[in-house]
Amino acid sequence: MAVIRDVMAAFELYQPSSVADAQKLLEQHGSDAWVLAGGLDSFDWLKDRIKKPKVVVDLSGIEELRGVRTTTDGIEIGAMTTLTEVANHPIIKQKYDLLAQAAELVASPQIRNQGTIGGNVSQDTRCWYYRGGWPCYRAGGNICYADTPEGRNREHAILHAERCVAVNPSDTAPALIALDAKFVLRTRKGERVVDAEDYFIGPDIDITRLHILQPGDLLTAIRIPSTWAGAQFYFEKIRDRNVWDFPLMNVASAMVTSDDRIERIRIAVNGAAARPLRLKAVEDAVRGRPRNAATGEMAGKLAVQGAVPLQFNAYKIPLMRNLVKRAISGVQEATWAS
Amino acid sequence: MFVICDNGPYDAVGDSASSGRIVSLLYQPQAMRWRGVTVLTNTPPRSAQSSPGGLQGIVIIEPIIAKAARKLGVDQVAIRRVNCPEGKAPFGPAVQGKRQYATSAFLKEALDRGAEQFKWSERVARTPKRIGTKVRGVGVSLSCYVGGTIGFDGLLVITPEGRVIFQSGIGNLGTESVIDVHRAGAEVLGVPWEKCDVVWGNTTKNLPFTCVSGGSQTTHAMTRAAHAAAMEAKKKLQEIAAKKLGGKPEQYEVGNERVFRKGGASMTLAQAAKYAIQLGGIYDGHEVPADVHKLTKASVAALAGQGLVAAAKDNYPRDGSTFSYVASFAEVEVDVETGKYYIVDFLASADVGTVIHPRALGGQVLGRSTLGIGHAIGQKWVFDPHYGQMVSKRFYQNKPPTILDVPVDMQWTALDIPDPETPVGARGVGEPPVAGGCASILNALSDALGDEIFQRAPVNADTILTSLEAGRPMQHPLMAHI
Ligand SMILES: Cc1cc2nc3c(=O)[nH]c(=O)nc-3n(C[C@H](O)[C@H](O)[C@H](O)COP(=O)(O)OP(=O)(O)OC[C@H]3O[C@@H](n4cnc5c(N)ncnc54)[C@H](O)[C@@H]3O)c2cc1C
Repeated sequence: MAVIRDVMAAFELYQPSSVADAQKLLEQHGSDAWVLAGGLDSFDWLKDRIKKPKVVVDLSGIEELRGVRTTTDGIEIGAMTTLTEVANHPIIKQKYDLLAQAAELVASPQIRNQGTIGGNVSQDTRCWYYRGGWPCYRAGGNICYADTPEGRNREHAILHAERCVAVNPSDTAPALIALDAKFVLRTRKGERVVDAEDYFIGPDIDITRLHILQPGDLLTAIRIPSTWAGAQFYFEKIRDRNVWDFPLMNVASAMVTSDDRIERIRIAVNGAAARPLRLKAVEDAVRGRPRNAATGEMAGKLAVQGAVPLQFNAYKIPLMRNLVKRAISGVQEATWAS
Repeated sequence: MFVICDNGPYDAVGDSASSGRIVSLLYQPQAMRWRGVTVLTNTPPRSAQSSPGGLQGIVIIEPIIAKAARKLGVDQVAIRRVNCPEGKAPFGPAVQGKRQYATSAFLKEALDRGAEQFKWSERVARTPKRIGTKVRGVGVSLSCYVGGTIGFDGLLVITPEGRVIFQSGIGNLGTESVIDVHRAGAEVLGVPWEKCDVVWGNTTKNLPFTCVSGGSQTTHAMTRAAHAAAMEAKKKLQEIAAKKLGGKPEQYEVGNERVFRKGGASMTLAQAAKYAIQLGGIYDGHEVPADVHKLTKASVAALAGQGLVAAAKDNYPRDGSTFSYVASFAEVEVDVETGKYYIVDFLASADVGTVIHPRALGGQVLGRSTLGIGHAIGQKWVFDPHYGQMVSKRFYQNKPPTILDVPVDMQWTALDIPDPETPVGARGVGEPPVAGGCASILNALSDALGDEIFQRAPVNADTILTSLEAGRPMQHPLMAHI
């Protein structure tokens, strides 16, 4: 398990300038190839020599994957658009601020300048056993080191764990689910568009991946329909440090009310399971109800039904309960004199 | 105090012993029993961090004092004022009936100054403490650590151009002491700082025997050495003047870049340096005082003939051990629904003797406070206890504090009262603020949340939420980091 740090194993580097070329390269090299976006997830793996791909296909030279475009029904964000661009984009801020808020809270300014939206939703889990090269289920072994009596599992899953207890660390993913975003994939069979929530998978479906991409597949863009443009948004992320920190948990909601009754709502949390969770049962339960503390309380309790804590992560149950409550009924700002 | 030191697999760690000494100094208990046990464990190797032992000892005692004050209904500042060291305060065990003592302590004054500047009483009296889901709390902590050693060498050259060149053997940690301590020498010689140069870097530059950059000793040790070398240079200037201009050495004064007799003859330092070269021997470094270190002797030999060369050992008396002290104040705001908290304000009030360089001192006081704050709010190292393997290898996992984790306008102040047992009055700083940074935050948190939430650091959202849910501390005090 000894790890030589910061010296990557050699690989062939390809820097295509079009999606078509990138796809051709990926097809050619199959599971030997690694897709490189901003590199903030990728380089940890490579420098730790835990993943040693033979070929790296760097997407940074592909112009068509960059930028935010308006479409007939909303916007389309190229997969290689940086998180800084997403957080600062005027249309996103004006209409889909939920996403801007989420992107703004990712990591640190440096990481947001380099990290991409495509990479952010496709990033791997940060379970420190798995990232440290321990031969766990997710790494192809037959044990979960985090789910043992002494395992250090403060940041792990309370829901939908199945052998592996790792969580998805993305901040933008729940915001995109709440906005009902569509992910545009380029696969061997052509273009495929999936709902944001269907992009992510748990260990019950595939214990080695957090998303549906197969070797050779590319995520090219994320589309946000105008359905939720200008809705009431709530995003909150709880982390240990005020910057440069993954979420312990986050929550994102988009809501439309009339006469303070909840007419439409989408709500998602991340950091609770191996995939960002859309809380459909909560959405159904609060629809038509007044937007008040009682509804929030009820929603919070419903959200954590079935949650199973590990040794050190029981706090995630009240945390999720309270975050869901706040995402629905809000939180009082406190101002003290002097 | 019963200290169990989880030592890791290799060299003995000395933290437990110093924790007892520091606690006995900082709280002046009339009776104290200290026991320490070191346990070798199959866990990752470790070594000392800033304020080794002092940090842990103070951070164990501070929350107990805070709890005692709450139970007694005594103000937190007041209870510390009663118990804190003053003057030549005793510490440590009695050996053959005698205890060691500090050179000085003005911590009461630091506490008073800090309480006033932090508006402690106003903050304590403010109501409500809770608005919505947010609760505020204030905390104060005493803090101290070793602050100086003695016996090192100073070395300077006055050149025939009239410049004073200080040879500085201090390792530059970015704290500027490599330069700053020599101001003490420039002051003795009455030479403007612009006319001084400091040579530093590595031993090829002919540097004197110097303390290591550790143990918060440099400012104390090396202002003394610089002072000693300047006094030696002054003596030589007086002797040269008497030889050349007549009279007795003690009739001459040194100032304004000259050596002069009141209302009479004088010469510039540049001229004196030329005469020193002519005179040779002890004046230009061809001879060296016997008591300086052999490393200094080699450097003097290399510099010989370049001007008036003065080398001296710090032989100034000192009665006691040197410590520096800090009173630290913090206010926090906790969200009881998420466990997330912010540090609203922070102030460190320092008793470090004479202030040599205010900005550099402020950097040390706040920087090292931040190091302590890091231990309160998240810094940790996590290993799997079953496998003894480290899991928190990267910074995002072991979580040193970031600049956004501390208040934007952290404040510091220093008393600037000279330590009476060192000629320049300056004591060291560096480690003394660390424990106060940590414990003031912990005390502010328990002021906000009560005594039943945590028994260990770091305190994070998970600590707070699990315990609030359960209504009792849920993380065992001796549990390894998670
Ligand atoms: C210290 C640190 C702290 C962080 N904190 C946070 C945080 O608080 N919140 C948060 O959400 N994120 C956080 N991150 C993640 C970071 O923000 C990046 O979003 C993430 O690491 C991946 O983005 P990237 O563009 O760097 O992609 P890369 O690292 O290059 O790629 C990530 C993964 O996605 C795949 N991939 C990338 N783009 C595509 C594509 N277009 N098609 C197919 N596959 C693709 C890659 O093959 C790789 O497996 C943090 C990262 C670090 C290093």
